[in-house]
Amino acid sequence: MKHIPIERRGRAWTLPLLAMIVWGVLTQAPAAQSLPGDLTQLPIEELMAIDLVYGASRHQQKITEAPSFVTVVTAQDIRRYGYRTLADILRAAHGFYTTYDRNYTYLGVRGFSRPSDYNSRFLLLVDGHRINDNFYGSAYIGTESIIDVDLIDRVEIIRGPSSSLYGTSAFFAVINVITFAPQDTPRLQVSGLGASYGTPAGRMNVAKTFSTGASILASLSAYKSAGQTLFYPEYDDPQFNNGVSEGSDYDNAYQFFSTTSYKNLTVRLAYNSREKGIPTGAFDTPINDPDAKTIDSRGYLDLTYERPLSTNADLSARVSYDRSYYRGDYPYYSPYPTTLLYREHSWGEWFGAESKFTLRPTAKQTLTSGFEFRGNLEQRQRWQNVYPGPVDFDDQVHSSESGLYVQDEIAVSDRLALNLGVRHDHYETFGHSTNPRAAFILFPADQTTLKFLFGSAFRAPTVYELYYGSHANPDLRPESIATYEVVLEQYAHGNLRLSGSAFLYRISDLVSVDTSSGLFENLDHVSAQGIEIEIEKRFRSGFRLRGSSTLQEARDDVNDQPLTNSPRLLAKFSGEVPIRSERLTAGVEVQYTSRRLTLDGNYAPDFAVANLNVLSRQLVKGLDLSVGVYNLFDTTYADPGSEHHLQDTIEQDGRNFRIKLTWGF
Amino acid sequence: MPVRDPNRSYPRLRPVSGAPRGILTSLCLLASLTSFGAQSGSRLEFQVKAAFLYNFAKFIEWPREAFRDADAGFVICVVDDEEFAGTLEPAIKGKSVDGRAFRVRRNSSPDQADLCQILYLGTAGTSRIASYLEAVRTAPVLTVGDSLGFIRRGGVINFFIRDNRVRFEVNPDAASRAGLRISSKLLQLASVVRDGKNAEDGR
Repeated sequence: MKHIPIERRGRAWTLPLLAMIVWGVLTQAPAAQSLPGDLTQLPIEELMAIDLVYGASRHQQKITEAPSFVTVVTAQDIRRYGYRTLADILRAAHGFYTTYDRNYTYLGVRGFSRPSDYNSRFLLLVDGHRINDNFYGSAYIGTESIIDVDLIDRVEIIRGPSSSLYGTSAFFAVINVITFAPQDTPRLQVSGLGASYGTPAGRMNVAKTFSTGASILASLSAYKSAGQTLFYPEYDDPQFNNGVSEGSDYDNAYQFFSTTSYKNLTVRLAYNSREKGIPTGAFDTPINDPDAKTIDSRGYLDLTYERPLSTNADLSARVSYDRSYYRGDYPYYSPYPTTLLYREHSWGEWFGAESKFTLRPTAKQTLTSGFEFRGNLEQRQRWQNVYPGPVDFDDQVHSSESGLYVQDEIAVSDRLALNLGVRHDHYETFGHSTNPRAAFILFPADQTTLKFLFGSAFRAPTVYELYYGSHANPDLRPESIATYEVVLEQYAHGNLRLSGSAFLYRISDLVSVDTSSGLFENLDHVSAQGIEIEIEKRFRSGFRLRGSSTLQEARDDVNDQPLTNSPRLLAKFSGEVPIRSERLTAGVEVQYTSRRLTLDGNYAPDFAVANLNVLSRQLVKGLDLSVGVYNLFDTTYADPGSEHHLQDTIEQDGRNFRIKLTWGF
Repeated sequence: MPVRDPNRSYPRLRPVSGAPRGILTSLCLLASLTSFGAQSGSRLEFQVKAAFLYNFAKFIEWPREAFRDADAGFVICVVDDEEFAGTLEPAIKGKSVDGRAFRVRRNSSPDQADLCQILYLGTAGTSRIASYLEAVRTAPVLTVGDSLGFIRRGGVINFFIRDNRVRFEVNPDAASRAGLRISSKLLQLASVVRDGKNAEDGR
C-alpha cells in the first residue's frame, strides 16, 4: 500500500481551511435589522409584539433547514406501527424499499438496490457513530443490526449524497439512529414477545441517574426464531430434498447496548451477534442443510465529548474503537451425497478519532469544520476449502483514511439561505476524493420551503473488492455519484403538510464484475431520475394520515438498459387511528412496490402488503400490549434474488403475527 | 457474505425496454402547489413560541421535587410535533435557567410525561391531549397547549393568535394544582382564565 507523505496531506488541507476563513470574512453580514437571530434574548413584551405576518424583517432564522429531503421516524411511530427492525422502519419511509434473501436485508432507494452489496452505499450512524464496517462496508438493518429498535428515540433519514460531511458510503442516504438518553427510559423495563415461525424474544433495560449527575442506560436483547419450512420449485429434485428446505431458516441474535453520560462526556458500548441459517441453497449449499449459515457480529466503544466553547462556538470530539467479525459456513456436495464444509472468516478492527468545531460568527451564519481519522488495525480474511482441514488462505492488510470538511450555512436574506460544504478524503488504498454539496434554500412564502440541491458522493472500494474477493482488483477507483434535486415543502392550514422532490443522479465507475477478465472493474455507469410526493394530514381527533408516491427510472448507461431490482413505482399509505384515546391506538400501513426486473430478465411481480398493529398502553400500571399482523391479506410476493441464488426470485413471508408485552417500572 | 467462487459472474444489468421522462412537468406541478396560504405553523411562529417557552421557564418556579436532583436538566417535552421540536432544540441549545441546562425530549408517552418540566401539546390531537393532561394532572409539569379549549380541559398555559401576534392565557388554579408558582410579571402579560370561567374568545 502506498503511503502519502505527511507534508503533502497537510498542504492539501490548507486550501479549504484558508477558503473557509476568507469566506467567513466575506460573508460577515450587517447585524439583523429588527429581530435578533436568537429570539430567546427578547423579553416577553417584545415577543408579544412580533407581527407574524407583516413583520418588517421577518426573522433571521437559524438555518435548521437541512440541505436534504429528510424523514424523521420517532419512538412513538416504532411502537404504534409495530416496527421490528430498522428494515421495517426504512421500508415505511417514502422512496425506500428492501430486499430480503432470507439471509441479509438489502436497502434500496431511488431505484437502486443491489442485493449482495451489504448496504455499503448507505451510511448508517448510531448516535453519530459510523456502523459500516472496514471490510465489506456493510451496514445491517435486519435482525443482524446492531441496535434494538426499542432503544431508538428517533431515526433521521437524510436522502441524497452527504459525502461532503461524512465521507464514504453517504452515497444514496444517511440513516442516523438516535438512541434514548438514560433519563428518557424507565428505571427498569422488561419486554417479551412471541411471533410466528417459532419466535420468542425479549429485552431488559436498566437506567439510573446518580446524584453526581452521571447517568447510565444498559440494555440486553435476545431473539430466537426457528424459521419456516420453505419450498423452492427450482430445487424440486430428490437430490435436493424435493425442493423442501427444513430447519435451516433459523435466526438467533442478541444485542447489548449501553450509554453512560457524565457532564459533557458520553460513553457508548454496543455489541451484537447473529447466526442465520441459509435455507435457499445460495452459494451452492445443499438446500436443507442447517450447517449452511452466516454469523455476524459487530461491536464498538465510543467516547464523545461535547461542550460549548462560548455562546457562539461549540466543540465536539469523538474517539472510538470498533470490531466486526463474519463467519460463513457453506457445505457443498463433493460429490453427492458426500458433504464437505467450506468456511470463511473476516475480521475488522479499527479505531477512529473525530473533531468538529462549530462557529456562529453572526446570527446569520454557522460555520462547521471537522476532521476525521480512521486507522484500520485489522482487515483480515481466512478460508478453508475443507473444514476441518488446512487453512487455504489467511491474509490481512492495514490501511488508514482521513477526511477534512467545512460547511457554511448562511442566511443571505429572509428569503434565501445557502448551505455550502466540501470534504476532502484521503485513503491509503486508492488516493483522494473531494466532494462538494450546495443547497439553495428559498422561502418564497412563510410556510413554503423550496430547496435546490446539488451534491456529489463517493464510495471507497472495499478491502473485499480490492484484495480478497474472488474478483478482487487492487486498481479499483472509488464509485462516485452526482445528484441534482429540487425539494418543495409546503405547510398548509389544518396541519396539512405536502412535500415533493424531483431528483436526477448519475453514478460513475460502479464496481461490477467484468465478465471477460473475471475481475471487479469500475465498469458501470447509471443514470436515474424520479419524483416523489408525500402528503401528511393530522386531525384534531388524533388521526394521522400519510401517503406517498415515488415514480422513478434508473438505467444502466453502458448498454442503455433499465436496472435490475428497480421498481418504477412505490406507493405507501399509513394511518394512525386512536380507538380509545391514547390508551388504545391502531397503526395501519399499505406499501405497494411495482414489478422489478430480475437478473434472469424476468419480473418479480408487483405487490401490495398491508400491516396492522394495535397498541394498548397502560393495560395495568406500567404494562403495554402490542399486537401486530404483518402481511394482513397474506399476499404472495417475492424479492429478486442475487447472482448467488439459483432462484430468480425469493418468496417472502405470508401473514404472520406478533404479540408483545412491555413492563416499565 | 460472498463465497470465493471464481466461476460466477455478476451480470447486474439486464435488457428490457421502456422509458418515459417527465421531471419538468412534475416540477411545474409541484410549483403550482405552492400557492397554499394560511397562518398556522409558520417558521416565525414556531420561533416565537420557542422563545416563549424559554421565558416561561424563567418566570415560573417549579417545586424542588420536580427535578431528580439539584443538577438535573430542564426537560421540555414536545408531543407529536417534529417541526416544533426541530425549531426549539437550536433555540435553547447551550442555555440554562437557574443552572439547569435545557433539553428537548420528543414524544414521551403519557406515563412518562411527569418526567418533563414543560409539556408542549401544541398540535397533538384532542384525544392525545386529554390522556396527557390526565396523566400529569397533579404532577409538577407545566402543560402548554395551542388549541381551543386547552384551558378548559385542565391545561395551564395556552397560546392563541390575535392580530397576527402570539398571546397566551394562563389558568393560575391549574398551575397551583401542579405546584407551580407563576410570577406576577407573567400573569400581568397573560390573559388570566380561572377554573370555570370562559377562556379568551369565550371558548
